[in-house]
Amino acid sequence: MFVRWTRQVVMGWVLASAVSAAQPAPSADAHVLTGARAFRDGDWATALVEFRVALKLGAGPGVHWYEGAALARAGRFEEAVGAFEVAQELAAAERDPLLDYYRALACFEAHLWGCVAEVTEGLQRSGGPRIQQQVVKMAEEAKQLLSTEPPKSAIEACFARARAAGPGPLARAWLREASRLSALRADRFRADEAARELAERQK
Amino acid sequence: MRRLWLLTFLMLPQLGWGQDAGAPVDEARKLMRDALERDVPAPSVQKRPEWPRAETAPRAPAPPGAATSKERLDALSEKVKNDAALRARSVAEERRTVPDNQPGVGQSRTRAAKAQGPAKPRPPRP
Repeated sequence: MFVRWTRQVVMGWVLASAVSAAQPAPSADAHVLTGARAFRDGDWATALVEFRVALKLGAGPGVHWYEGAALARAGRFEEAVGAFEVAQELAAAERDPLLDYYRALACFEAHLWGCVAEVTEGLQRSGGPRIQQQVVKMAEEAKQLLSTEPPKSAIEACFARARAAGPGPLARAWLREASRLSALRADRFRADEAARELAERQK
Repeated sequence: MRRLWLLTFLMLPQLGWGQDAGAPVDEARKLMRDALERDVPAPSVQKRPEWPRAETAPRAPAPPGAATSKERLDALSEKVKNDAALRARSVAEERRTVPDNQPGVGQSRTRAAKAQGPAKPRPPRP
């Protein structure tokens, strides 16, 4: 009788341990929370470190949105564009109008006008009243510039920036921008090249 | 059978039941949402939007014939040396020209006054 009961307890414990081991480590979530607290307190550098540690420990890809927001708040706009690029690729479902606003802001400050136009277009439909004024301002500036034909030098600059950014997501963001700008030109300057490089880097 | 149910019930916390596994993430999401909403940064004011450039901050080229920073540093240290030599020379010259009973460079006025002798009595006030 006692032996049977002990056996049941041991089996149950082993089963429970196996199930709990299969769950994701809670430390990643703890770092996300610490990062969010630092972000709330305006400590962007700490928030960024915490979000990156959380990602290394296996946090969900949605944390890339927070990483981008922390980088944008820290004034590191180009890096923020890269983080948002990853977030969009891996966790598009977790996008939020507020986080999209930060993405538009990062693109605006880094002069990725095609990205600004694209993100603000969605925001003008879904964004709340609190950000509308800023969204309209950014959209107008982007539209003003994109109403003229982009010069070849701008497209070449996008390629140069992509090369300088290395193999990371920022390079993909610049190639996407090159693709957007070349689509606005009658001669589609380097459009095929941009599409090809982008496809290669996305593999 | 009853024992098995009891055992299952006791093991529920181990299995994660009754514990909100997504609690830190949910709290983080709420915190982030509040923080993002509370303080929305405005885009910087740009006089005219510019097309992207190949470099982040292109440096203005130096005018032809302009000195490099090393040359500027060398010239500055040479000037400092010259100034020190000039000052030392002028101090020595001044010492030679100033009479013994006059306060010279580096000589206190009290010492010079002592050399002149006792002070003259002031005239009485009317």
